[in-house]
Amino acid sequence: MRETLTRLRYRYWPDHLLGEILSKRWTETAIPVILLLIVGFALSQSLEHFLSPASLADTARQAGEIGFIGLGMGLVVIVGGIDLSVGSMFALTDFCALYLLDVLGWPVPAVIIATMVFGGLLGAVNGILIGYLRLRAFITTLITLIIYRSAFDLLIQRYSNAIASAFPDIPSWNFIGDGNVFGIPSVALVYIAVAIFGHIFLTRLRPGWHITAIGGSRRSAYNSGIPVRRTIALCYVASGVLTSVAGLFFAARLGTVGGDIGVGLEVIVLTATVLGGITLGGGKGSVVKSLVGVLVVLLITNGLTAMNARGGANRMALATILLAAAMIDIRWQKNRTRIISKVYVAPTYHALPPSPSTEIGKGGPFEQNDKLRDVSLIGLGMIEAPEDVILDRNDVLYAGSRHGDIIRFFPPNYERMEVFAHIGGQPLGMAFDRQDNLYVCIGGMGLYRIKPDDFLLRSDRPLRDGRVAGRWAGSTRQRPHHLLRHQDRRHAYRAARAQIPERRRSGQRWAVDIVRGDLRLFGQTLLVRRTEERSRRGRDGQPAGIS
Amino acid sequence: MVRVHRFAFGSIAALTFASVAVPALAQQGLDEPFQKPFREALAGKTVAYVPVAMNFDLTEGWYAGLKKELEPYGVKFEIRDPNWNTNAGAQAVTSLISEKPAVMVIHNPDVQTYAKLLQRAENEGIYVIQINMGSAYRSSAFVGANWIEIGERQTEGVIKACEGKSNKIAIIQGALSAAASAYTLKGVENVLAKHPEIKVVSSQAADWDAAKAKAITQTVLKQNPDLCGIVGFWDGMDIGTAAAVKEAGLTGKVFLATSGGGERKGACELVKNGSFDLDVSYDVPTQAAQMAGTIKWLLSSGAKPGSVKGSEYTTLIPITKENADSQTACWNLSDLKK
Repeated sequence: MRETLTRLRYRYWPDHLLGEILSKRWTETAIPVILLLIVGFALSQSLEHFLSPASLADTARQAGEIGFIGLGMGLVVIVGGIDLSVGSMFALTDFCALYLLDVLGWPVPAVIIATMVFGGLLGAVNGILIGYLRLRAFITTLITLIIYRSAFDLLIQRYSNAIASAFPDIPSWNFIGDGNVFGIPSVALVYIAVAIFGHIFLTRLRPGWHITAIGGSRRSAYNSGIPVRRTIALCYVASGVLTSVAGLFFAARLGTVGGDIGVGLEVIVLTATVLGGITLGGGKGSVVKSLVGVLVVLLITNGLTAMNARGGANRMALATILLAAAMIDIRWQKNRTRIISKVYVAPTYHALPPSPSTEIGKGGPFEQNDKLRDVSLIGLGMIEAPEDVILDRNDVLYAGSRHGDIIRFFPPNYERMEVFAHIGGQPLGMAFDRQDNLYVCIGGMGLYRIKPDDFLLRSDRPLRDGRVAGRWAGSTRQRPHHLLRHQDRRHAYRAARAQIPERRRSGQRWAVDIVRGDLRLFGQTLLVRRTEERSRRGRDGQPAGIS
Repeated sequence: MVRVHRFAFGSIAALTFASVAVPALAQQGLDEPFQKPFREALAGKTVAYVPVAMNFDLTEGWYAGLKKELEPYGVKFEIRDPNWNTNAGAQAVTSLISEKPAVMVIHNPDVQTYAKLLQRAENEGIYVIQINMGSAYRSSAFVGANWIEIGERQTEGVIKACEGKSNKIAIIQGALSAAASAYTLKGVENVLAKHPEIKVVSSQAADWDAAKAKAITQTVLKQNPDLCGIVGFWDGMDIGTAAAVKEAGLTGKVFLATSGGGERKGACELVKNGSFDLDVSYDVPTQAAQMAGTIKWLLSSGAKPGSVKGSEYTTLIPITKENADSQTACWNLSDLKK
């Protein structure tokens, strides 16, 4: 069962497709969108009227208003700053619109244009201070927040009752506030248009690239020739204008200048911005992220109010969700590439047959061969490096050793051993002939024949240099010098020839002339031994015993 | 003849015995035909309550009073609590309109915000009862205090206490365009117009917030240590005003007139210990009962929402040191919740 599941998982799960999808840039927004879907689903389950057209239209209306401010804030955050004064600007522009309309009695188009210009001026104050005079964004907008809010408080002290007593009933104003086009609120339509333009602006037009570049690295942008100060200032102006648009729609919808208009709005908009995934460091962000964040915040706030939650619970829930979403989003951003690389690897599944048994007695092809387990050991610790063993006619075991001895072991136990002959070198292969002569191939020396009875070492050719070991009959006292030192005994030794050529690893070709005792390097005679006399006398003056 | 008499006498005797043997029943009961439609009109209906905020005496008292009167008839209650946020309140009212409860009880944060929304609500068939703080739109019923009268009474009290003193007074307003604040200010101005010798040294809005009221009063007292009276617009906020007066050591020298719901802890106790000198109460339990009565009337009448409109201004109870101890001047929230 598990095997079937594993096979299905590896054969049919679309790893590659998933990897492709996850690599797309728009999946950066994955977590906020998932959160939005979860919140929307939860609300539609717990509130009966959530998905009704009227309720959706109403949510869209509110989302449009806050969405405009979110666009402005997103723009400012992408360029690397922050705008904390949006709440106060919202209140002031709301007041401006209602003052012009109710108290001064201007026509609606004039009110709209004048309010937007006023919003732009408010934003320009921020822009000049932050863009041109290069003050810090946080503290500057905090100060303008206070200044604008105080201005608002002073103004409504004077004029709020005049505005409150007015009940303007102008059709165009009512349309801005409450109007629908095919069921879609007017705010939402304008917001969609502005959002589409904003998206194209940020991603396809040069000023948008400039903004993202400045947000990414101000110094590099400056070095590239982007007009940094002007762009930053214009971003704050844009934030002011967008806030004033939101203020206009709000004024048309509710027509009020209460004392708490816009208080705490900057926190909500910042929450929406961060929730949507626009990092406060700057350089990354999009319109969609801003919209998703605004929608999530709005749905949670309205949903909780509609579920009869008491006031404090609303803020608490929002804060908790923001915390959780921010944590998950940060993890997602950091680990996205790692997750992609893990998902992308798409191994297929191949079921191996069951492995054959190696146990003894089962008879499988890989059965452990223990045939030699119960053998008796011959010469353990007593002989070193026996390259070959051989048995003679009488079952005596002969083996060479690295000391140059031929050692034999006697039956039946092969415990008694004696040195049969000492030749020197490294005895390699051995063979017997019909006359019981033992032929030994000695590495570095040649082919030797040992007669069974007289232990005299012979060679089939007289060796006339001091290398000859044949002088030592049965004695192990003296050891031969090897003129030619074979470091590598693995070379095959063709002893039956006068010249034994070999090719070394380095590509050199050496030749040893056994007869004449020369050592030759490819055409060159390196070492020649004039050894007739030495061989007659032997190394230590003893007469040679070679035949 | 005798046979008839005997027959009559016998039947009368039988009837008499029969009637004596049977228990005394006067007559059958008359079924009241109006109960059933009334119960049907109320059962299962939803009343949505949108206060400015919960968790203070006024709104809790109204809610408790309404529940006590209406829940036995099967009325369902829903609260939408915007917690002092005007925007959230507007949002709540808007979403309620699409949910279509039978009745909405609205406590307006200011005269403008909900005006159009309430108009829309009544057009869609929802009865709208506005409590205490009204809006620019007059709906099916308004139950509340007469703010102009409150302002006049407060100012008269202050002026009387200021006789022979510096004649400087301060006004601590609530939220600027709230009905309670704006209308009360009109009442104050009415009386001040008749007393040109009184000087208003400060008239600021504290947004119903006790901390803000305290801060404003502290500044005013520092600037005018010889202040003789303060007109505060809500006792819940004027706790802060009284605290500032006490800190300056001027309790008793500055006449603090305020208004409120008349709850024992918030009104009578504070008048008794000297924090307030005059608290004009609009008596929350009475208002709640009036609201409940209006709802019962409206629901059982079947009238089209918006076709019949009326107002119910509640009688004011001025609380001073003389009657702060009486049982009837104030009410307890715990009693109302039982």
